Amino acid sequence: MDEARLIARVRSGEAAAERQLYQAHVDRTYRLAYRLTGDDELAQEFTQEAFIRAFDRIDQFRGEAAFGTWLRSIATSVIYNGLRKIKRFRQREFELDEAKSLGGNERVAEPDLKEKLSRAIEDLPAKYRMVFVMHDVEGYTHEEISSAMGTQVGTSKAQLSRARAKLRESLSEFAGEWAS
Amino acid sequence: MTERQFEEFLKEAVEDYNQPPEVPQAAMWAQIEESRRASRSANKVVFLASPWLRWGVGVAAALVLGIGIGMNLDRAATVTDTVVAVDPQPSTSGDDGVYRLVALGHLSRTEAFLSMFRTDVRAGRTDYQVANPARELLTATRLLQGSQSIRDQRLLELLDELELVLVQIAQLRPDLDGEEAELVTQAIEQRSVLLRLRSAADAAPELRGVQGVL
Repeated sequence: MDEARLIARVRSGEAAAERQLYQAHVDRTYRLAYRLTGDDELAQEFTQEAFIRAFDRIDQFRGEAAFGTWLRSIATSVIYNGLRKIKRFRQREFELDEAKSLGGNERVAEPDLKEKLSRAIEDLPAKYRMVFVMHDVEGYTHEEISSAMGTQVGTSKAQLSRARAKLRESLSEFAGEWAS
Repeated sequence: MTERQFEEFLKEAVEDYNQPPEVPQAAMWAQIEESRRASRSANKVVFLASPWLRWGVGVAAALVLGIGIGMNLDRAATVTDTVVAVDPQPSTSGDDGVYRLVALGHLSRTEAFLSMFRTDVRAGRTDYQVANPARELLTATRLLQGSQSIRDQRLLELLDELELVLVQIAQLRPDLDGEEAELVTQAIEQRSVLLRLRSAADAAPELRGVQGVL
């Protein structure tokens, strides 16, 4: 069944049509949420929220772009805002932990390259991280990213370039490993 | 080491970054379906566009009920009387019918509100404007608890449960009480509040579909 007809059925309140639309798009939405959160529960919550919002606002979908594009813009907004709040919360927790461990002599083991890379990705500014994960990890095109994030293609390219530059800087001590 | 070499390294190295597990399609759909069902059920009840007006009408209906058929502020005495005098087949006419009609409308609104609240908390949205609807639903809950027309012990227990949950939500401060909000949603789930709300509505099929008259 073509997407336009499916969406018309969703608009008329048909639950079965909602499920069909969900099944067509859930994998990609969940994968992106998981890649960005690294947490199954959060990824599920963000994915659910994205679909609930999309179904609630289906009347606002004008069909000028594909449903997947529209859904992706909702999902990136849900994930981005959700992660910002979580980051604020974790920052507070981190500061508390830091305060508790002051004066301790704990030695932190040197992380290997992959751990360091993961940490460097986590530390990227939120928008750079979104663009980097969407492009380099999940394989989205700059056109898809820019439409999802409501930016220009050039902005997406520039943010990806800055994200890579920051990662390169963070991993400079391992330069010999990737050059070999 | 060139930029190209670094990009090639990245391409391989990030493949494992937060590698997603198998997509839990069914589990997520169950949650979405539940939320959509609650939303549809709320839409049937709602005949006013503004959510604020919607909550207001619920309160107004309960107030009319309280004024029209009397209130008993000394609820302890009422409970004792009504538990003894439970009517196994309560009539849907007269005061009982009006009471059940209003109570059903109130339970539907509360169910919709709690579903939305839980969805918001799960999504990390703590900037919600929950306090006012929660306070108004709390007022309506208390009016229903205090009515002399209450006949059903399970309904009374459910209203007590709702009162407890709504008090907690009404006290939340937007953007400040994320953890407390999470605890409230856990309490809602542990006590199966939403399930009991739906069961209560299902137990009164004769009144379904007429909420819109409130």
